[in-house]
Amino acid sequence: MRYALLYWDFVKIQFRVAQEYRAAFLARSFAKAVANGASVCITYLTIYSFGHVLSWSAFEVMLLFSMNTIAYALAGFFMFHPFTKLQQRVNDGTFDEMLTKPLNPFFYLCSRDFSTGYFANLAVGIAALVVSFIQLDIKLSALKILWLVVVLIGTGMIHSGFFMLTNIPTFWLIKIDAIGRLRSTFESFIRYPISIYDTWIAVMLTYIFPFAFVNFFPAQYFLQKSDFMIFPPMLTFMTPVVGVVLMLMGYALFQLGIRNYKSSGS
Amino acid sequence: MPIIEAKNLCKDFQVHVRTRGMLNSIKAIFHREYTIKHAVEDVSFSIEAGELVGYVGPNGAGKSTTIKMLSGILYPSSGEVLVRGIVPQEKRRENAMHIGVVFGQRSQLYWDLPLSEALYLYRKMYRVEPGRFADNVRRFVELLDMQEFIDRPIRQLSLGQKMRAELVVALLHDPVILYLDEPTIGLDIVAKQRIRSFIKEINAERKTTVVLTTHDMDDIEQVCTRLILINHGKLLYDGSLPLFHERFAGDAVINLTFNGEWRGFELQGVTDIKQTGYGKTSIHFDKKNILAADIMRVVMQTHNITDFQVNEPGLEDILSNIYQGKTIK
Repeated sequence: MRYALLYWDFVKIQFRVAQEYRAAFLARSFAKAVANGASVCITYLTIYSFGHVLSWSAFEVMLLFSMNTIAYALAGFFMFHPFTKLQQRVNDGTFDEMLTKPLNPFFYLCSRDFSTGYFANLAVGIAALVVSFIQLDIKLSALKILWLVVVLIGTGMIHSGFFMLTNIPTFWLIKIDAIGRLRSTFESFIRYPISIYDTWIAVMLTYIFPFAFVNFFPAQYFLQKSDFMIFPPMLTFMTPVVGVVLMLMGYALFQLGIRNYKSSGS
Repeated sequence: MPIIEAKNLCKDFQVHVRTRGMLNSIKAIFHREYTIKHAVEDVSFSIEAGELVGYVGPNGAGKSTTIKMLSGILYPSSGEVLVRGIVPQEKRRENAMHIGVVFGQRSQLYWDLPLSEALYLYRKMYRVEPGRFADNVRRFVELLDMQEFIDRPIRQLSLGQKMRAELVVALLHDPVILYLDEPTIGLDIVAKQRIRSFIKEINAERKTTVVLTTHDMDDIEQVCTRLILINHGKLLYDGSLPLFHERFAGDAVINLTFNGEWRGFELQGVTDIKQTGYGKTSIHFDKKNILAADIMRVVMQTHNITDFQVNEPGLEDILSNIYQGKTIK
């Protein structure tokens, strides 16, 4: 409870800062909205002009896209800055501060760097999601809506987990940009249903870099599809579990990283 | 019981061996050679509550590394730290409630907030009672003369103002220990003095234990009662300031100006006599063996002295000799 209140205080600060730099905030939001909106359109148009990809119609692919956009935005609010800025904090020694406060260092790191920069992503994602559901004429019961919320939180956790796991190695390595690029490469695979790829790629996206749980598997429950390739159909329900596991792994790695933190001479 | 105890503290860092030449660089990608750098080597000391300790040494001596082990940021490679009887790395949160840290080269202020607002955040973070909070803020603001800039965003403050803000943040929760790593770096004389007298005031008022690293020997002389000296990671001296002077101070010097010829003289305890110019001589002597007054009495019998000064080596001179490896006995 104390942590929740403190977190909220830090969030309020970030909003105040956004207010102070209003022009920058608006320009960035606008740019992101345009970029994300364009991606949605391109994805939609590509599929539309082909009619469909395998058994996936254009709006079904748009649903996949929207789920990933929302997931990325959720992770972006809470986890993007804490972990993308970690490399710099560790290299210049400002990470010291995280270790001298009467708070869990992980919590303090996350609360200091809440980002206000993902409203545009979230808005585009939700709009695309709603449009897809309407166009596909999918009726959602209250229970299904609740499950959708749980799934979306889970997808946010998956992206969060990846932000963590790809950035925490900075405690051991000085430069980690390549690992981050690896992450975004794998992420770009899930713009389309993974059944279009070779089986080994699908296996990798399921069991090694489980991005398939961000949209491909959970979406099939709502779309009532069964395009599960060689995988067990119950994976459609596993998104929250995968999210929690990835974040726990990230947290464990973070704890190890602290032990290896070298600070910097002054 | 001592409030801070360091026992055989060591910290090693792995350093890559850099190689020259294309072939060696390629080799290094697959197989790297390391050497171990001993940043801190077998350092032991214990500090009692309320002490004002100056922790000095040249750049790279291991000062910051030690402070970071004491404050729980770095894990020692071997040896042990106990602060208030607990291991700071293991009970980080409990430890943090009782220490305040200021790292002069590294701000921990919230850049976009004015101090007045940041303090509320710190109040919650450290769970400081509202009454105590108000008292502390009032007292610190008065002592450090901060009224004028307390509502301005931190990023607009001068270096000296920022450092004062850092001190307030570090002391808000009444820590029993204050670690200051180069708190006066880059400040002007007035700002330095303000910070020195503030530290002394807080120590007198609240019995706060202070561990301070600095390169400014006036910080040490004006604030500290005890000196710990390290070089190359090893402890060279730990004790009071007067005792340090006594042990390490080299010769004192009398600079004379006189009319006429230099005739010379000999006395027990005079170690060197140098003609430094026409009508000018400097006499080096060991204070333990002879008084300046005795030398002057002898010299004035045979010379027509017009002016003289007695210079004693300051802390800075002594330390610079030690850093260069000159006078270690």
